[in-house]
Amino acid sequence: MLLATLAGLALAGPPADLAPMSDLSVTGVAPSIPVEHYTLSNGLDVMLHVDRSAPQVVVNLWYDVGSKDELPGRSGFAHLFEHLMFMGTTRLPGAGFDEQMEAHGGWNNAWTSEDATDYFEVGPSNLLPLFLWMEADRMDGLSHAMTRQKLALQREVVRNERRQSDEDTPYGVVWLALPTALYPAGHPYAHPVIGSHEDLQAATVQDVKDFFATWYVPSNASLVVAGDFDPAVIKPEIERLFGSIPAGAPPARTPPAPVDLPAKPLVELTDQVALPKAWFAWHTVPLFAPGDAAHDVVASVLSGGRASRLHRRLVVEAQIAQEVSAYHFSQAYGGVFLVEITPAEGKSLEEVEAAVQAEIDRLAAEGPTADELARVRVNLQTDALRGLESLQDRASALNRYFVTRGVPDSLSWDLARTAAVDAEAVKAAAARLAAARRATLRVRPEATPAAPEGK
Amino acid sequence: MRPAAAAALLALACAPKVPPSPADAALAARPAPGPAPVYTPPVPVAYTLSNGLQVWLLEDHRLPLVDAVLLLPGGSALDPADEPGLTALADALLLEGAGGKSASAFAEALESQALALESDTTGLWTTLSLAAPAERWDAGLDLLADAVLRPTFADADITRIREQMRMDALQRADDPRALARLVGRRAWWGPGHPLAHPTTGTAAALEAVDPAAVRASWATRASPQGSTLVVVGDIDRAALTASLEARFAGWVTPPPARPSLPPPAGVSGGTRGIFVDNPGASQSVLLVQLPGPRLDQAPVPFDLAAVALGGTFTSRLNRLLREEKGYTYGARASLDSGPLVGVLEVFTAVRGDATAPALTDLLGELRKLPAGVDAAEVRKAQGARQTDAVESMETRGGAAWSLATLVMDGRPPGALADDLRAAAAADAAAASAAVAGVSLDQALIVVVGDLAQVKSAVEGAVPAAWSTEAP
Repeated sequence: MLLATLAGLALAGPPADLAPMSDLSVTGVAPSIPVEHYTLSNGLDVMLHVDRSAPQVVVNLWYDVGSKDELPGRSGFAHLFEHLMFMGTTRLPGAGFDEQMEAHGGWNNAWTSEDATDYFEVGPSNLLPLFLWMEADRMDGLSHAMTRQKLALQREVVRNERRQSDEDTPYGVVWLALPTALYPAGHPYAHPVIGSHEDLQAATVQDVKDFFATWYVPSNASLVVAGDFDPAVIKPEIERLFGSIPAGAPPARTPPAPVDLPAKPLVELTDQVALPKAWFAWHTVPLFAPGDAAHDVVASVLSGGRASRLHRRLVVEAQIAQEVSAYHFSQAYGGVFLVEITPAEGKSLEEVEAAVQAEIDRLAAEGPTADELARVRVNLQTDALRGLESLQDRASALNRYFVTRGVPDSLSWDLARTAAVDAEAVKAAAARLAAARRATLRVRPEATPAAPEGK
Repeated sequence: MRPAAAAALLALACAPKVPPSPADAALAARPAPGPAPVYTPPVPVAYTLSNGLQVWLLEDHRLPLVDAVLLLPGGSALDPADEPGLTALADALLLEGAGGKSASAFAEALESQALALESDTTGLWTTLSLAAPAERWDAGLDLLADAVLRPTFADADITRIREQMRMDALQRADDPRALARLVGRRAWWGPGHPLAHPTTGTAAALEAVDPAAVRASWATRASPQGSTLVVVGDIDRAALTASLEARFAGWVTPPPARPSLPPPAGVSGGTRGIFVDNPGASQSVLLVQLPGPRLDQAPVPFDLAAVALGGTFTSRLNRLLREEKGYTYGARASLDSGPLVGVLEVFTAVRGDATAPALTDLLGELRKLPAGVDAAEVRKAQGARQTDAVESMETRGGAAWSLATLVMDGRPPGALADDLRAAAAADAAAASAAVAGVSLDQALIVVVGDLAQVKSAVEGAVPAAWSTEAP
């Protein structure tokens, strides 16, 4: 069944392995992002997705390196390095990267996680040759132009980011404490991506050069070009600009042993906040491993919307919680299932925590209802359609699926894998979320500060 | 300071050695961009239903999705003086049971069909947004009609949501950025102004709101007169009109009384500064507000100058405060032009120990603004506006909200394209002339930080009428 087609993206009939879902025929649609994928001789993977409906292009360049690859004593370095990528090269010095693209209506950004560092540019289609040149230029020679001054400046910017996003954000202390609560010392995920002030200050220019030479190489990168362009013109241009950059040889990684139990079962914190909150955190499984999708479904059954179990039972009916949210994040070396709990006024953390665990235990014992499973599936299907709307989202999805499973156009595969989760799989995933296997992080309000002086 | 010649020699001596690269030949010449493509935003069809409800429809059949925003005039400006938050409370209740369904049954009806329905309250409007798979549009519209025409407003649900909003109000003070905006809003509009209080009320006031007032709030303002439904997506006009007439033709409530809105108090006769204490904070939040043009004052050239000041990464403020001084993770400026007032706002969070020099630098950039912006800055702002326009119209939800903003501003359906044309036609002279009158004498500054650490330094560095307010 072909429901709709537009330049650049298509909705095809369901693949054979797509499980039957609810009676909504929209759920029979398999979203797809048409892509041409090839690999340059130096190992750079290239994905082209054409959509000429607006005069816009997106370039997404993904480096397969993140905070998990940092050396001891250098926490936060992968993200600091991301900032340094905008500090100029010999060919385009200073702030030229941002100035050149902004001069013509383009913009860019980047993000770093435990596993990945992803750079993207967005702008009118006439900027595509410039975007590609600038990415090739810094891939070829960023570190040659690195100086102590650049490093010192971006170190301060990153330390300000830490202050703004974690230290001075309500409950931000939790995100700084969570890695050490979950992982044993020395595990690649045992520190926050943002790093510590101490380690950021210890970083040297030589660290930058070494990190660049090790990880920022074509054989460790993948490039998506999406939007309004002619592949016949752009393919030779990509070959010309990137093809002669030496391949590099990123080291093979040895995945750490799976972690099952938290390093610290209970972490008590304080912050300048009005209300206490608690977080439950469990180890789950790596991305796309058996059980991964089932944990996603558990999160949706528990807190996906106002009809979800935790909201209905604890917020609406019992009124013991102000808010309860569950999430599942899975990455290369493991997943984390999180529940964030805000008690209603006058209710203790411990009381609401017990009620949340009781709901999880109930799901483990009884499983989800057929209606709950149908609700999760139809919402995932619609979310996937919404994921096709923005060019940036499509470019990002192609690179994410390519890096994580080797197949860029995997939206339908991903939906099918979630649709295949049945009640027994949900029960089994919920059963893993037993109280004894979790870390609990509590944040309580600091003592009331002194009243501000008047004038 | 070293003499320039000596500095140049030193720089040469320290210049990093660059080994040759196999890519040198390919990368020798940076490509110059060709002619920029022109983007013209699509214009929705506008028409009126039999009951007076305005409809704006933008058809987009590429994906089986429909997004809609229903806008009803009113907003928190209608709150009685002793009940701030009443309007937002009533609006939140629209989703907590309607059409004979309980709150949970209503949520189940929506979510089991992948329908998303949300309500929100601004100073002057109530909005209900619906996102639907195209084939569930009619079902979504049934539930939207229930929310608008048949909300339950059960006492128990009112009490529950009131308590949640009260707790949210308590939590708002935790966030220094939200706090700065609240204090800025209060001071800008002035005491007692209908737009001075937080739209979602205060904890103390919410505690006192009674259910009868909530029911009355909605009953007196839920009218199709002056309201608009914006629809974007996979539906045609005939089908849309039929689906709307079937559900809303009988909705004929008279329009609400418009609130009386005096002009904002603003600042005159010298810079005003407000400190708010945030003990132990590692950063200070800085908010500066200045008067700018209203929508009827052709604001586009001023907006281009505002983008040059702080609208993009390489804009003046971010370059100075982040990239040169390392004081902040980011600094931004923007112009918000509405029908009543225009405000140029600068917002940043800076390292606590750099608060005074950072604020001095920030104000220095504002002082320089009347000297004008150059042609390159204006071209950059024009490009940024076009790219923003493409991105904002890319998703059905984004397009629906872009058009909804036009409705709230009292603008015609083609105003997005008009603005892009006005931006393309403006030059550096026009943008410079628009900001020639910017003066710190009309500036309101809010500093939220650890006052024990920053207050005396700021007072010493920045001349202003300073006062300290409780959060």
